[in-house]
Amino acid sequence: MLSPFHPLQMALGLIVWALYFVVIYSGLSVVCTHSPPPAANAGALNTVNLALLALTFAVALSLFYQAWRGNKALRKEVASHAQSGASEAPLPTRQFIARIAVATYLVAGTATLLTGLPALVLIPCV
Amino acid sequence: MSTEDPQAAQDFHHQFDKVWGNPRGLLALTIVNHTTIGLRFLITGGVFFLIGGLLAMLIRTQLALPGHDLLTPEIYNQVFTMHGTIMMFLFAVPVMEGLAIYLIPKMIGARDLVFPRLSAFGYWCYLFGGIILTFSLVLEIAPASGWFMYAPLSSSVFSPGRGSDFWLLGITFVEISAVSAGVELVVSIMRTRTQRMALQHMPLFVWYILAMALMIVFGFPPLILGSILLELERAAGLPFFTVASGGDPILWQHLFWLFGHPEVYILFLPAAGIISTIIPIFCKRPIAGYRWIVLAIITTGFISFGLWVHHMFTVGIPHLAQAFFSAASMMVAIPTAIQVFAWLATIWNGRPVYEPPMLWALGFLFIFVAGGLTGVMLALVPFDWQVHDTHFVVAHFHFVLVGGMLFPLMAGIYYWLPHFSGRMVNRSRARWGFWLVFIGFNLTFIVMHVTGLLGMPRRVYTYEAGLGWDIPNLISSVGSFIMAAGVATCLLDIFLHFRFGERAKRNPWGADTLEWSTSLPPSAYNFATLPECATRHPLWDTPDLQTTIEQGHHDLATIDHGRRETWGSDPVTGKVREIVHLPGNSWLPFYGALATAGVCISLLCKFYWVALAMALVSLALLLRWSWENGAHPRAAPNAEVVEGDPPLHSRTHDGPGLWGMMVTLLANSSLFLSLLFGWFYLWTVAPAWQFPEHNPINWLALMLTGVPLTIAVIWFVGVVRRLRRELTDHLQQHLWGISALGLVHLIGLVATLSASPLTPQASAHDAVISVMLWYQLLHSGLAVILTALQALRVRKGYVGKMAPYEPVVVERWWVYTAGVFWIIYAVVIVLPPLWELA
Amino acid sequence: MRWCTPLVWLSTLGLIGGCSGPQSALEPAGPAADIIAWLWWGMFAFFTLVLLVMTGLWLYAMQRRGEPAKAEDAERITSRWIIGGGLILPLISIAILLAAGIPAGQYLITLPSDKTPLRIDAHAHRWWWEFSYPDAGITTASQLTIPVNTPIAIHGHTDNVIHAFWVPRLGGKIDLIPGRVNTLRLQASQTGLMRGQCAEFCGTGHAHMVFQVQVLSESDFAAWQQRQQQAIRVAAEHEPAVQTFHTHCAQCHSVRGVSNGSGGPDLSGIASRPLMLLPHQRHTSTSIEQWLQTPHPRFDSETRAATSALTPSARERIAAWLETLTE
Repeated sequence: MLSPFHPLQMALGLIVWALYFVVIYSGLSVVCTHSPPPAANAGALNTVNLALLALTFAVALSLFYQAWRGNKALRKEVASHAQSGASEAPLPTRQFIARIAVATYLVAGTATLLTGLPALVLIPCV
Repeated sequence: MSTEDPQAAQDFHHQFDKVWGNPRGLLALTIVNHTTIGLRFLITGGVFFLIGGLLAMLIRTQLALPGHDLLTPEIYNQVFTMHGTIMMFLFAVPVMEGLAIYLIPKMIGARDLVFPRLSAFGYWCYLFGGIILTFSLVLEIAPASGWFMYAPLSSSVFSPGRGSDFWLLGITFVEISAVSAGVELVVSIMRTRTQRMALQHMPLFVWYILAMALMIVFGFPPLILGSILLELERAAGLPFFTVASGGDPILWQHLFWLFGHPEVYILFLPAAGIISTIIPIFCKRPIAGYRWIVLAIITTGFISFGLWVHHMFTVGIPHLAQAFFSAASMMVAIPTAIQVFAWLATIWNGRPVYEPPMLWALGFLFIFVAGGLTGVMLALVPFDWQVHDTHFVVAHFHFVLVGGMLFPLMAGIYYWLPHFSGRMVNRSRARWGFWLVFIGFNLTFIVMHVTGLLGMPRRVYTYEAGLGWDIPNLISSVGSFIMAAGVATCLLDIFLHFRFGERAKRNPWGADTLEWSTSLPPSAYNFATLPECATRHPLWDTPDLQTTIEQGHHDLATIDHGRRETWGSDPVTGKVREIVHLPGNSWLPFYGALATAGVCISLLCKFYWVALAMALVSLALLLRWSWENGAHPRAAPNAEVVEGDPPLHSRTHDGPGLWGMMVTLLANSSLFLSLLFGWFYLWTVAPAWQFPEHNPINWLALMLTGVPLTIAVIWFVGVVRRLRRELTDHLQQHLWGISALGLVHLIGLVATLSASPLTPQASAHDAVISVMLWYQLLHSGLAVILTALQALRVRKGYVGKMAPYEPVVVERWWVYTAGVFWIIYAVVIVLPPLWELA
Repeated sequence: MRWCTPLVWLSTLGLIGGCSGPQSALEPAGPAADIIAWLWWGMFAFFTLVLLVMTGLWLYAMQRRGEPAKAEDAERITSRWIIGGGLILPLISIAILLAAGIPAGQYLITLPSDKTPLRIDAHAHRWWWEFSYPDAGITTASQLTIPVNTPIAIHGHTDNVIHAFWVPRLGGKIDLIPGRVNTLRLQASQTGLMRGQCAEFCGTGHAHMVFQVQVLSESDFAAWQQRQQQAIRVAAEHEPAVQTFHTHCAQCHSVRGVSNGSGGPDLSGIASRPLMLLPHQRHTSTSIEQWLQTPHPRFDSETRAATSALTPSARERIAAWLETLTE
């Protein structure tokens, strides 16, 4: 796993969101073209929607977990830095990266939830 | 070196001028300096803006009255198509890039962009492409299918003339310039910031441009691919978008909007960057919420790639899928709102002054927020079903683009004018210009929302009286002429100021960023010495920075080696890692672009053999250009540096060129992914798609051609690994061997391709496979040539133990080529039978 | 900036005063268009408020006098504005919009009703509309006749470029795409005439690709359908006109019981239809004659060749006959 202070972390959350987005959109399109769920009027409770929702929650959860993990590491680093008293280290940059990373994970998690929630009410293939 | 003595100071700068100076006369065509190239982009973009604006006036005159017959429908269709095309591709994107090209090195404390010849090449491609495209208008054979060129209207059946070809070839040509600028800006920002400018010290504008450039790198290739496919369909009959042969016109829409929506943010982000730069200056305090804004920029960059289907809500996609895009489209309002409120907070905390740039920033705010709000409305699926393709949408996107791009651009131009010219503008004329544009714009486009709601579709060349559209259309037309008068006033103001403007004093607006520490107007090398910058506000913290820079108190003060140098630094911390030496002025970019223009024109005239010859010529020119790198006598034959300074980048293993290759490969992979998307899309969705009974490609033969390729890559990786350990024995022979192995693969590939019964004109299936294999051929061929050239360079002594830089760059190309090969193998040979089984 | 507020109000007044029109989305005549109009007015009110408040805040912030904020105050003000305005405000707005918009979209797609929907196939040609009623075996051109309060299922076909079927007073639009059949549910809640138009740019004749929508009561509709199933009887005085018609026009145009051409619009009800450029105006012998003399340049060369072969007296004859072909 990448360290929470790696600069790529600033984009990773949203990269996951983008992949999730591609998967749900293309997955839904393929399912709807080739094997749409049998009862179109049965409401939103069907395998397709359940799968979409499960994926949504799984992805959102893991993104929130990453945010939490980054935040923990950030706090730890700030605390240990204050103890050691060294002000020379490139802490501001590491902190900056970690803060932005935590925020993007939160954004990505929220974005995932917002994107997936329509599956609660809409029938998949009409 | 430090030079308090004026005579010594003059000599010092004179020496710099000798190395960096721009030639005059015909030789000005050889200039590669970013300041000149940036200004050329801005001025050329301005000219195209005027042409596009003229077309807009024609449109508004035609629509002013019902049943008006100023223009025939044929001409009208060309006019609105070219208005959109020119404004988007020849004005908005290039101008924003031009501004970035001009400003970025100055803001990050560098002397030039990292690939100066590429900047020049990009400019010439843009200029020639733009001229070719505009020329079609003069000939009255301009494209006439709308700026998004929907198939099948743009196909050879329904648009038999040359119009669509002009668009497809011309735009692709211009796009080369956009992508090359994108690559260059990314690498420059990542790798050439001045000493200690860490990520959190970058001016916000630089963040915005970084995001924009990365978005160009990912966003433009889908359109380039789409244009290539559509041109192949038009010229060679490969049916990618023809339903009967297994294609699908909707694929074009996906490819187009995959580009087209990010495009809006490619324009908006730098514009917002201008606003984020200006507001703090005129409020005399740092921007509020720097980190929030960085977060907003990153978020916008990603989410804007998940919106494209909101242009396609009426094509019959399942409602649930539309809802995903609807949600994403609305989400993008959040980062925008964060920025708007950060600006508000900055103003709230400070005491702003109404200078002309600030006026435009305020105008931006009103118009852009209004446009953003109608954008949220349009993201609501049912409402979009009603107003999609009406004048409501036309009004909306003019609010977003004029408000979100033109107004900030004007703010930026007024703000940086003293930098371009060394003079100040006339405030009262500037006010007149602003108010005329602002009032004219609102009159035109607020009313146009109503026209759309009253049911007027877009792109109609006329309408009849009695539908309630007469008065709103007349108002819009009157407004547009007021706006035109405003634009004229601004232009006049800007022209006059070059001559009569008051001389600008140093840092006239009291700005905080490094670009204001150059002389006004700047010298070609920007900074005589490169300052450290571990702060967001260098000029506020050290007001006499300009003096100390000029007096040579900072870094890289030696110039007697005759090299153009700037810092190469760590992408995160900004710590200096190497000295980047930059190439000087050269004819090659100009000639290269000229040859590429030749390709474009001969394709337009359907002289395919000439086109092939021209393509080979331009390849040769580009290779010739790559020849003058590393230890070549015209680059850096002598690697000596001042004691204590880091080494030259060509003597290291991961200089900016490696980054350039990686970013280029990102753009390239975006193109390849779009092609894969096309394959899977047609496979799963196209109504008449069919797999042939037998795969036309022989699986064994194709696999066998992959073997030498894979061995060559492994070999190359091994060679580079040894090179990194400074083991260079038999380097030349190794490289020759790898190249030869690549050639074996190439021959095998050609043989497999020619032996296979592919019928690309009969089925979309075969057409896509053909394009994939041609793509592979091109990559393998380039790998072979580049490696052979490397072997030659080793022999000449330009590459080797002391200059191990280039093989590392070429290695990435090989790895990419092999990766592409096996992916193609998997999706063409392996997956279809598995799908049948499932 | 001071100019904007009156402008916004002016346009608002303009909207309220002038929303009507044969093609106005703001004068809905069916449940789908109704819902969309309501969505619009709701969003318009809310967003106008947002815009005015935002502009007001900016102007106020610009004019504020007194000392600039101190550093710690600035920090607090910043996070308050950004979190309140940049996060909470848009999140709430989005939630409300999606909560209203998604069910609305679902309703528009299904348009639930206890009646079985009437299927009508819309064929988009370059550049005119053909409507066929598969159950009744009827085909019309440029005129869509539907019964009131009955759900209609429009099935859109095209074998050329992409078009879009759109009757703003009834509801949203749907693209007609080669190789696919998209459907659109519509329903009219009042009788009368309105106008529809192709919304997706489709080439030279795009601006003229209009059609008239005629909403009839259910009994009138039944009668209309019956009339459309009967052959047209030609009065003796028009026999010569029909002969000329057979020579020059019948290859492409059909007239029920008279000719069976293909490629061009059916002319059986031409006199009840709007003239291409002027909706609500009927074809008359004069207008038809004029048209035959100088056909619109957007028509294909065959049409133009056929009409130019007509002598003045032949034009007059044909026009006089066509004028009698009402629905």
